[in-house]
Amino acid sequence: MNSDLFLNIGGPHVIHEDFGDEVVVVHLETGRYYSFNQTGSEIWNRVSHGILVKDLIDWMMNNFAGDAGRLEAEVKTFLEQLQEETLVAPFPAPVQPAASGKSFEEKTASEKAEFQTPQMEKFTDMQDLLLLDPIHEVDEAGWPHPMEEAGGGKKE
Amino acid sequence: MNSASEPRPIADSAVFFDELGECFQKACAMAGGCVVRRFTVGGLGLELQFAGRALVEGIVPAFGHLPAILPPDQPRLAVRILDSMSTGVNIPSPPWSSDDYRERGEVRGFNDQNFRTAFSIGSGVLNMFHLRRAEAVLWLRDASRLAYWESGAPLLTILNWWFGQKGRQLVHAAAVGNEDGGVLLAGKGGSGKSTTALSCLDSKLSYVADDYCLLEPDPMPRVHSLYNTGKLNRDNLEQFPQLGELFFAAGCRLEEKALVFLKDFCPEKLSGGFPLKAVMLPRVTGTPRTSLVSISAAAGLKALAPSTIFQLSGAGADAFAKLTRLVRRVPCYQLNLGTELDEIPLTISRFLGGT
Repeated sequence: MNSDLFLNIGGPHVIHEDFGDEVVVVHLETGRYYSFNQTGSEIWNRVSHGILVKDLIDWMMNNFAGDAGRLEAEVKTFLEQLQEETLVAPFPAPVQPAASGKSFEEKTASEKAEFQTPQMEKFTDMQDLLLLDPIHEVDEAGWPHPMEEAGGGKKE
Repeated sequence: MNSASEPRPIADSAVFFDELGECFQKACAMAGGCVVRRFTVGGLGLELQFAGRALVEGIVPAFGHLPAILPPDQPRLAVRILDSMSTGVNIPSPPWSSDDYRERGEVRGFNDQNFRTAFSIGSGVLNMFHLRRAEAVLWLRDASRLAYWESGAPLLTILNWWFGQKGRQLVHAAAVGNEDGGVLLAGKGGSGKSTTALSCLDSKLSYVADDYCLLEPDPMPRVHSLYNTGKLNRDNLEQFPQLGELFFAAGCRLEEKALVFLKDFCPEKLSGGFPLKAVMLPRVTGTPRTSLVSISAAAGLKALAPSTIFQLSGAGADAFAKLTRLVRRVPCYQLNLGTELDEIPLTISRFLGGT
């Protein structure tokens, strides 16, 4: 992933709530929903306000202890997952990005939390509710027949 | 078989809604009059206007436990309900194409700041709602083909649109409790919501819902009864033999989902609603004992929000926000369901007694 990308929430189809140690995200178009562990939640909270990837990684390195190469790789992998799920998307960077630049206070090694791999739990059990019912037949006026009349069986 | 329809050369929600209204008036005249039933639900008024009697028995029983009056000085929703087969009145062709049917039946181009429109291909029901006038129309071709799920939870789509406007939220959840407070039972189909709710009929707890109810999230969360339907499957026909007898006495067949209207069976057990004290997620364990385990608000939201939002046309960010406020205000638990059914209401009662 390009470190100069400016990422933000993918659009109004993504709704989310931060519970501190866990974020719950719902994708209204796919029927999928997600939860992130604490590291994933930290990343999400910053991306949800819009941020350059390189600024996010700087912020993570300032707040979490661990191997810098591993941290960068795992944060980028997580961001790629978010992008694949269309939860986040790249946007043109604002002239002065809201969360851009090293505006944070440098932390000492003892103040940093141990870096844990950011993780996403994906739930697909509700996707079927959003599947379009097939239209088997329509009447002379153009109204679709109910599934049972059209031989499609009863709906749950 | 007809090919996919082309839209008529009108594409205006207001014109189409008025055409449906004219059809309703004609249908009333053809069917010998308009049958009106009025209810109070969640403190608001609901007026059902039927063109003839053909759909009355399919729709009214689910609301039969509610006060049969309109509350004074409160907003009211009027729903005009008709079918073509019994009245001989056809409605106009859809002013949209077959490609415009979207997720949850929503019709592209006919959902805007003034109107909500959805057509359920599964049940053949058209729902249209005029937000500003608080008027809605429900049409289907043949009243005798009303799907069982439309009888068990009638007008679900229209009521979700209406209540969403009024600061309430229709929720896919069961609810049991007493006048001091109760619990919302959340989870997807098969999680044990119905079993839990029905197990409370033989206890001191009252019953608000087994599948859908109405949440008033502010200022303090409260749940209201919407339907008095009890839904049984083959397993719990054996678990609740008295309800099974009622089901078969009504002439129903086992291959159908077993719907019973509890006002006919145990009206004294039905509650109009109560303050909410907790969200509980039932889980079938197969072990004898029932237990409660505290879980996070996030876990509660994951059980409650997706199954509500993805089922109900128009539910989205606003519904999510209301459900989030709920799980932040009351504790969430996993309710591990034991096979000893008596223990389920006892466990809930002990919790309510201790809060």
